[in-house]
Amino acid sequence: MNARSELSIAGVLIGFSLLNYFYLIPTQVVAEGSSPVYPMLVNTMLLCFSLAYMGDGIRCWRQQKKAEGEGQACSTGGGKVMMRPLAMLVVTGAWVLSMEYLGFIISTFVFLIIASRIFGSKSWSKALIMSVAMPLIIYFVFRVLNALLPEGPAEELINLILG
Amino acid sequence: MGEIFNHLWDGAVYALSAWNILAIIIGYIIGIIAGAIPGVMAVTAMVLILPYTFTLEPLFAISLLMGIYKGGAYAGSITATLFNIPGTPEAAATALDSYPMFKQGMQKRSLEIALWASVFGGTVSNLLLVFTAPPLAEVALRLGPPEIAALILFSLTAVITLLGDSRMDIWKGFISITLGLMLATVGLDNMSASRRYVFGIEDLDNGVPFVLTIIAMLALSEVFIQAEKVGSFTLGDAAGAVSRIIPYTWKQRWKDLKFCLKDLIRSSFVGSLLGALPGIGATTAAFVCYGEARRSAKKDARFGNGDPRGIAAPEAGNNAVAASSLIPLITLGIPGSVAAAVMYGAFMIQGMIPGPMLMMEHPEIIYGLFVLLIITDFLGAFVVALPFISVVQKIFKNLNYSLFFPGVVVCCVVGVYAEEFNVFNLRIFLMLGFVGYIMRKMGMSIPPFILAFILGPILERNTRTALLLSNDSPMIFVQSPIALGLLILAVAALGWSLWRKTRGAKGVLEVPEEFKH
Amino acid sequence: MKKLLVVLTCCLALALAAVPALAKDYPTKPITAYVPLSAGGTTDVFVRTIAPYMEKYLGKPLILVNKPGSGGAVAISTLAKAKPDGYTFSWANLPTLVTIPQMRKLTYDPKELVYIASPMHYDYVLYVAKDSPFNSLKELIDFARKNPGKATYGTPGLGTTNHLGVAWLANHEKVKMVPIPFKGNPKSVAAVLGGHVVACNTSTTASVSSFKGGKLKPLVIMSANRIPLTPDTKTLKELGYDFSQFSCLGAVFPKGTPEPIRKKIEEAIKFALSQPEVQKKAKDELYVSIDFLDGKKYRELCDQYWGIWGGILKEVGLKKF
Repeated sequence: MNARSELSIAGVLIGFSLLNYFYLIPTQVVAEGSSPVYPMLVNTMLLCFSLAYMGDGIRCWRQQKKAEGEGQACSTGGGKVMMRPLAMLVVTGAWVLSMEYLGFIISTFVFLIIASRIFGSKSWSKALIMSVAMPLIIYFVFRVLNALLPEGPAEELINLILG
Repeated sequence: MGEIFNHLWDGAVYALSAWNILAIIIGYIIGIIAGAIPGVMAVTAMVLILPYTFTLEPLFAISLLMGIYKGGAYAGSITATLFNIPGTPEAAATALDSYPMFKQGMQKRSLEIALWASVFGGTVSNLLLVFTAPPLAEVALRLGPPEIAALILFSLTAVITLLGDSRMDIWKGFISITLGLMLATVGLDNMSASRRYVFGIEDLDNGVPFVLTIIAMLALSEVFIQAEKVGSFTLGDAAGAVSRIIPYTWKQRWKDLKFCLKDLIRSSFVGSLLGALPGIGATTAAFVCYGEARRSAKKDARFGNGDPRGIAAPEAGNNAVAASSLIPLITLGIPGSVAAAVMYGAFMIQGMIPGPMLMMEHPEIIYGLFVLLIITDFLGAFVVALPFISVVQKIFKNLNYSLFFPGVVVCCVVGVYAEEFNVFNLRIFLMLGFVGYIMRKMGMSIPPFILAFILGPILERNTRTALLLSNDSPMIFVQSPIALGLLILAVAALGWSLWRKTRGAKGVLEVPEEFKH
Repeated sequence: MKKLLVVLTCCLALALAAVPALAKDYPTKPITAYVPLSAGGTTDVFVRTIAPYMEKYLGKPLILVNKPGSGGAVAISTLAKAKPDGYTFSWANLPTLVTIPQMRKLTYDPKELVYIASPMHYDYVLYVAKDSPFNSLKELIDFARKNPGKATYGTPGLGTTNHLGVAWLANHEKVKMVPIPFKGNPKSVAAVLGGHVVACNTSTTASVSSFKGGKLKPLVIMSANRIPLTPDTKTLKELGYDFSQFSCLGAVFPKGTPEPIRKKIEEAIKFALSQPEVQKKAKDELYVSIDFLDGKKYRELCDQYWGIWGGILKEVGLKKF
């Protein structure tokens, strides 16, 4: 976290609160017939705090520039670090979206296999055992409790077998 | 007073059977498992089991649910300690100190402090429920919208202690509070029955569900954070810690008890009072107790780095809520929390409507329940929780992290899904999890966000209801002495904490360790 | 991995081979029913009370899924997207089908749904606190006339029939009564008990305990008939008003569900209601009135109240569609 990225965050926040003022509140609050007082109040708070944050950020940036010669405070948050979290986000998203069509068991199986790779699993066999066992256990617990998980081909097959 | 003891004796005779005790133990086991699995709430387990109580004996059914409730109230702290992933929202405050303590190799100590604090808080609140329920309920009833609004404002000031020490961090903390308030405005505005930030999606009408938000911001974001660490060094940086487990001696236990006693007592009472008020809940109580413990401690306290009081206070507080949230249910027939609403349903399934009538007509049932409630904490702790902790510790030693974290995601998703059986919620869940990750990367602490998210709507609603009652005259907040007193307290607390913070502000870019996560 | 693929393909093929069930031997598999409220409420317990008898009649399990949210709209919008094969239906309270579609834009059109039947209706009572100076509806209305804006009443939310019922009364009498929305009936009762509002209009179950404990005083029955809980309290009609507050629980299928299937569920509901255990539980423990309406009557009532509630919604400024 360096001063430059702090500044850009402050910029994004200020941008968001302006968007909120001029677009979101008129279209999503006022147009629906709700009172804009409270959303406006909260938004103003956000704007004030973001501005203060930016102000301090600028001060901080200047200090950092001065100190740069001494080799202090360097950026860490490069794109590389974010790779695995982003991959997790994509895989989880695909899982959640496909669950309704593929059913719980199959989609969870695929998710677990891929996610365990993202987390650096070395043994295929362990990952495979867990990816098969976990969805099945959860499915049967829910079945016993008479609650429904999204159904797909695998669930239909189980239903067919168990009647 | 003597009458209460008579009732208690009758209740004990009526309720203490092997079956009911078995029900408590089974319930506690289910509760502790559900509570310990991140994303799966004890309340979800209660809801799923509720339909099966149709065929059970009344007291058996209710003890079973009570056991689940109590077990779940404690169990969230287990995963909070071991993985920094709170199993339940109310354990979020506990993680602030129990995870750092665990990282120092004192896992047994932090798990046990959480357990004994839970038993302590639970017992104090059980006794308050038995002996002071009617007057406490009367007090809770008398607190109208203006008083509640003032009380919430006061509770919100506890947030200040959770902020970092540098000026930058204080601004970030305030931004995180406002973002929490903002997220809470999504949904129907109850005061006008019209939509705010719904974008035409019905599923958003009831707002972003609260459990979902907390699990996303704390548990899912932690998984993302852990994903970063893959390959660079050991996951969860736990392997190092495990190799040097520091034993927890009896002398140490005694010392910790003496050290935390003041906070335990205060938190138990604060938790019980907040629990008796409808709608505030265990998560808030835990944060308020944590904040109060921190506020009253000396400046050199090790809060955020494994101070035992930072575990004892929130755990005593959130467990105190468990019994006291039943006060409005039993004395007035008004369920004050989601769990109390499930208990209400359980009574109704058995053909009883909880409230003053039940207390008069069948005191033996209510007092039997009280007796069971009192023994639940001890029975649960000794028979279930202690063995459970040691099993968990064993599993923990040879845990395969590359399989564990994907498994956590599956548990969270299933837990969130089981709450409302709505696939749409899963999408919000994932989105918020990533937002939480980004916020943590930016050094914005999550607890203030959560507290604002929970308390914001209650504050807004009660303020507007008060204004509606007074024809828009703000005088209503000043006329009630309780509201006025609380408002003055809130302002004073805010000023004092801010002054203390700014006085300590030194290095500008200094981020305290616990908020970096 | 290859083996696995083979197994998976087999699963798929088998599932596709399962022939869709025909209407005449319906049902051949478990039926899913959405409950538009969270678990543990009156409606939920009632539905769960009749479910075992419906299962007995249908011969297949009924899986009840709680899908709360947006006054029931979340359940119905999910239902509207479901296949109309008879294996998914939803319970619905009258407002979900009648008032909410007039208050906000929804993704479903309630008039397109297939109305199965209605097993019961709710009863509503207007209460004041025990120590309140008002002993009759007339006194409350006189107070409201003399002190505009002072007569507050608790409701479980704006646009609920509890709110609209009293709003009709106030409009009819040309007095100003202020609705205060609370989060659910129990909280609105609590506000009366705590003396924060003057009156509250609540469904019976939420008030049973406080009323029997002697903390509430009923002024008038807002719904059509007298109820066993407060046998001496008169209804609005008896007091000379040509109005009664009506809301019922019903069941609906998605658009295009075949008539024989609808009929079968209707019969199952009727069968369950004829059980003495169900009747006893509804009357003595849940305080709701069993009142079977077949699909046609149910639909007619909904259409009729679309106009009645819509008119009041317009008066209070909540009608948008």
